[in-house]
Amino acid sequence: MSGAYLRTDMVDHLVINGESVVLYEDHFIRLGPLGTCLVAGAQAPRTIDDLAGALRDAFGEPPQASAEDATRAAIADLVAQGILREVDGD
Amino acid sequence: MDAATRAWSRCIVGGVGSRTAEPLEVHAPAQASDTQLMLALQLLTQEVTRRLISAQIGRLLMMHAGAVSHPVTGESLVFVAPGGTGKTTLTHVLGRHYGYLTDETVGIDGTGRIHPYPKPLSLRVPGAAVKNEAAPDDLGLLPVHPKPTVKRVIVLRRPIGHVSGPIVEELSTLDAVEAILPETSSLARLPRPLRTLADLTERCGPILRCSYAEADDLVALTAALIGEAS
Repeated sequence: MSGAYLRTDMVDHLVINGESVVLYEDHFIRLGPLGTCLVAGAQAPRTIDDLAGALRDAFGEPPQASAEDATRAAIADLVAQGILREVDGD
Repeated sequence: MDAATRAWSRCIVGGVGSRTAEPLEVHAPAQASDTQLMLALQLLTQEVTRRLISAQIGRLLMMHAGAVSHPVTGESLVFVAPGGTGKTTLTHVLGRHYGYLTDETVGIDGTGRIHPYPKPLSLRVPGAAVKNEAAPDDLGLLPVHPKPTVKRVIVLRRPIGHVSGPIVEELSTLDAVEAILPETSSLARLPRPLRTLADLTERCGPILRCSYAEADDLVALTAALIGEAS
């Protein structure tokens, strides 16, 4: 997880009050505020630092971990669900 | 063939509709037993429904739901539920007081107008594996209002062990979208599909989620939402 991240192709993304639903051809996924912010921010390739900055701007510093660690964990979850994918950051 | 014609009497129209589904050729089974005839009618219903849905992909917002309309105002309730949750039983009960729109698939256009699909009701027969395709006329169900529109959408749940009266809760727009999405058909083929669904929930909202035990328990709720029928 050292490159950049980009959201995968989706049919639609509905955001309401900071939360969202992502629709694919054959399934959908409900996202909380962190996931919604990351998906919105990853419409173009973004590094972990970029995305950590976006989360920090939206939610402040996380109470337990560093912003980078929290972002890394959230990104890993979204990658596992097929919502984000790692791309060449150059 | 008489049985099929009677069962589908509410859906038989003259002339040519605005949309044409893939043609379906039907042959009455020769020397069929009652069970074989029932099975043939059940398969016919499933096939017509499949073709109807296919013909409206990308045009109507379609969901697994039963629906009834007020005979005077046309205001309609859409009961969204997966199979086995009691859509047919509920529309059977409510359809004696309100216009019967469908017990299976509701199609809604961009104005909130419901396109009726008053198919035969697929009723379970105690002890039989095959359902009885019952004509709405034979069940005494009221005819549909000429311009039925969505008044409210209710997501039905029938939890095992639920013994009290109906429990109704209002859903936020996003919770409603999440609750309805699994019961939609080919939603992804509509333009702006999630916005279309959200618009429906906001126009007819709040969407309700109702846990219930018996269909009769929802008669009062129906009257409260779209008015007494007579």
